[in-house]
Amino acid sequence: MIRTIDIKGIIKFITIIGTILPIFFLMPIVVGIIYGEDILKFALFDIIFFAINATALFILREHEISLKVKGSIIAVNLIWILLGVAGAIPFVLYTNIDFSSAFFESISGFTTTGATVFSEIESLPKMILFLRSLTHWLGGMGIIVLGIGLLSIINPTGSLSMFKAESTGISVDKIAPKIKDTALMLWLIYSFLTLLDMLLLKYFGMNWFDAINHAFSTISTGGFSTKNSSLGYFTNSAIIWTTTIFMIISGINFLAHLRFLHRDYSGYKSEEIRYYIYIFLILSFLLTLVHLSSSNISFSESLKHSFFTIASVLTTTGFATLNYEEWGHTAVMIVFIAMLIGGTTGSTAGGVKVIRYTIIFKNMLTEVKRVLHPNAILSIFIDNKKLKNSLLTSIFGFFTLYVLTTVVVMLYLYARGLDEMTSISTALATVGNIGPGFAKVGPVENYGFFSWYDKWILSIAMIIGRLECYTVYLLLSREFWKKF
Amino acid sequence: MEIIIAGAGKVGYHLAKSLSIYHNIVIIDKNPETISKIQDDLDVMALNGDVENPSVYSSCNKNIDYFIAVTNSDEVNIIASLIIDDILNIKKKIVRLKNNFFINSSISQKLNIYKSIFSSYHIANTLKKLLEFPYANNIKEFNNDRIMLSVRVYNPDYIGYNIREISKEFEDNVLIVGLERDKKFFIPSYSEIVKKGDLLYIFGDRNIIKDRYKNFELQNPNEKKIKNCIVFGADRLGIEISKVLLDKKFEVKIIERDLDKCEEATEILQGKAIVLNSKYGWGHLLKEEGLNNADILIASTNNDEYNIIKCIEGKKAGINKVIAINNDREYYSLMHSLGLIVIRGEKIDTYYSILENINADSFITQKRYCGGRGIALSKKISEESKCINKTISVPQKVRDVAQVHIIRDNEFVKDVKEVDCEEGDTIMLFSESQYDDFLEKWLYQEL
Repeated sequence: MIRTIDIKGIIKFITIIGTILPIFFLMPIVVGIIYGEDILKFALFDIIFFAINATALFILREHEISLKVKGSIIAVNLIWILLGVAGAIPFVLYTNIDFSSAFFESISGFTTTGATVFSEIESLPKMILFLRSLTHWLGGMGIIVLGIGLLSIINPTGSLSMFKAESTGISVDKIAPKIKDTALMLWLIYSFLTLLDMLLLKYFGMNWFDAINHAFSTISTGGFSTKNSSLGYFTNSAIIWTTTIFMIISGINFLAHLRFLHRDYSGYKSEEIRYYIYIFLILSFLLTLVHLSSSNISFSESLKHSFFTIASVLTTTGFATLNYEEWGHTAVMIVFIAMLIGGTTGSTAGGVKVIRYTIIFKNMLTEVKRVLHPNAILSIFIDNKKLKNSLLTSIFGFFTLYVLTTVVVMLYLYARGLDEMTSISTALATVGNIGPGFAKVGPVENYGFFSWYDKWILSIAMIIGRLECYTVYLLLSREFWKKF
Repeated sequence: MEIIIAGAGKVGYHLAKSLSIYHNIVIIDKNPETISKIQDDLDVMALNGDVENPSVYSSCNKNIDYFIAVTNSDEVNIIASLIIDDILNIKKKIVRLKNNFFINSSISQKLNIYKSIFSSYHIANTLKKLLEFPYANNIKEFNNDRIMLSVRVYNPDYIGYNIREISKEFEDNVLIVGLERDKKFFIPSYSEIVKKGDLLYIFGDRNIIKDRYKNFELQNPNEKKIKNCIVFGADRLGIEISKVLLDKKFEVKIIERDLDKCEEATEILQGKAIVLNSKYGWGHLLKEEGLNNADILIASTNNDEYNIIKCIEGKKAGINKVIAINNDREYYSLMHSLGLIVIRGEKIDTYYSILENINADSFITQKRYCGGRGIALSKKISEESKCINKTISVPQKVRDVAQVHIIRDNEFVKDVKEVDCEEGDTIMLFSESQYDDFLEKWLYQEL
């Protein structure tokens, strides 16, 4: 019997990621050395982890990976579990949290959610703080995208379906004929933006450590900070504005940035990005007005905090400067809308994403037209291109799954005895990979109070959100495991 | 290499699939469904648009090694290859043309086309060569006037001898690169004893093989000289084939269902061949026209199923040699297993011709034989090859599954264990086709 799933290929791909990861983990170890922290346990873990994966990779070196759809989906799911575990171990080794919390923290990092279980962040070892930011940074662009880049050098075919299974967004747009070139270019621009953000933050007064960490969290739209009061700690307006701008940039399709480097501005002119900017501006101004009316603060201050808050929530980053819950119910409502929307396709942001709302909204208008003109042949156009019906169905499918997931998580939390606002916003903040929500999980709170099994549920919710539902839910379908 | 393929039909799709393993491919087609299918399947850049529209090429790399125009229309192919020079920097252009008028016209030179592919003409020529070797089961052309020919052994003089002794018959100037016995194909070792009815695959110089291959078949009772031919289908290919047969002074009867095509064929062939309309089946024609007295039947329609059925019917009617044109690869092995002689149809032929043209420059050429069960890989060593003037040992793993030979100064260096690469050498591997990826990778990485 021929296996329909290339199990060795799956293991090999996981070990490729498992070999890259400890190399990146050397960075927090170096940070630990710089700050004179006890790195022994971390280093030992790193070496063992590397050794296991490298050995497995060595054993499988001859095996040709040929992952088809099913294999890729299994591999991607397993990699997320691997990431969660690998990231969790240092937390267990260096802090006093249990494994469930550590797994939650690690998944929250890799999914760029930014929900933390730590109430006292500043007292954590510097290397652990750095590790948290690093998980964001690796998870943001998709460590698998990096893996694909490397994989296709070893093995030129068979990495396409993996890219599709992991990358967020609707379609895989290519900038170069080969997927590996696109993947490597994406990482290049990602690193470049991070570096730029870091240098600017440093220039505006952060120390190197905070600048690197915040750059990692910002570009990956993660949200982990090195300070208890998040970005609120930094009083310099330039830092807040820089972060706001970089969050918005990171919420835009990275392929558009890539095209920009090739002097092609067409990427930014797409409908999705236009609406994204409109939504950002409108919500920000509205929040500014609400903020102004609810507190006696100067206009520029209000503008700064409101823009920052909307950028942070819209791009699913989750940084905070002020507690927006104190600005009244209207403010909560505005932030809530931003939470529901999310960033754009192909960016590091999570959520439902602007393009899907655009399409759903246009479909609504078309349906209205259809009633008025029963004989008309009507289509939906995005960027002057006719939208395929199959895409429309898949978007509605996604939307339904997304909403259902959120509702299930919400109902679960409500049944666990949490109040309405906490349940709703926790569900949204985890599935949408945002981080902070309202009430008990508000911008100045944390997720530490959840029980260990709640944390597992929320971790899974974060992975589901990060992989845009289908990749995870497919595993649950019977069709998936059938051989015929 | 950077390659642009204009047209994503069967030919374009398969070219993109094969070439994308080692090259950067951009493929363009105006059908959005085709493009989105390719985006899902292949690691290439698939663009939706009209290949005659310059703006389609705006996102392509400016320096392109090959531009391949394989849309369905000659006009589109020519115009695309014309405008592309203005937009991009193209090294070589390969264009598929259907109208055979272009073969002798100077248009190709005027447009600076590196290679024009005329598949119907090419197929007809293959048939012509096959007819030059009436006792051969099948024949394949290679570079430098080498051929691979398959012949059944019926002569008792050879039965019971091993491969080494048999290749002495050709003064060691040929290779015996495959053997089919009881419908099983394998690469024979030197000590393999030849049995009656074995199908031998012989590779070497055309003239040497032509002189002596007949000896194997002498005793085959069924063979007789070809005189009367039936051609099924009066499409471009059928007409081209008929021309070749008429050139050889054979009697040709063409059978076609479509009346208009019948009239067109009569006009083109100027009445030299008899065109029969078979709108109401060909059963009655068999007797009326004496079709069962034919010596050869060629089913050349675009429909493989029809070709297969006609060939089988022909065999039943007692026609000795039946040839099927294969348009869809999925039918290739079926045709072979039914004992038909198979010649590639237009699309498959175009695909292989283009691949061979691209690869012939410095890359690996791949030819399949024995119904795709055998594979011949060759790589020419150029001055740019990384192995030049080095000695590369052939690993046991490779020798276990393949024959490895070198062609140097037109002579064979047989079964080498080490390859001392000199410029102009051709390394040839013969193997069963399941090892193609492995062997190709070895050739690609080591040589």
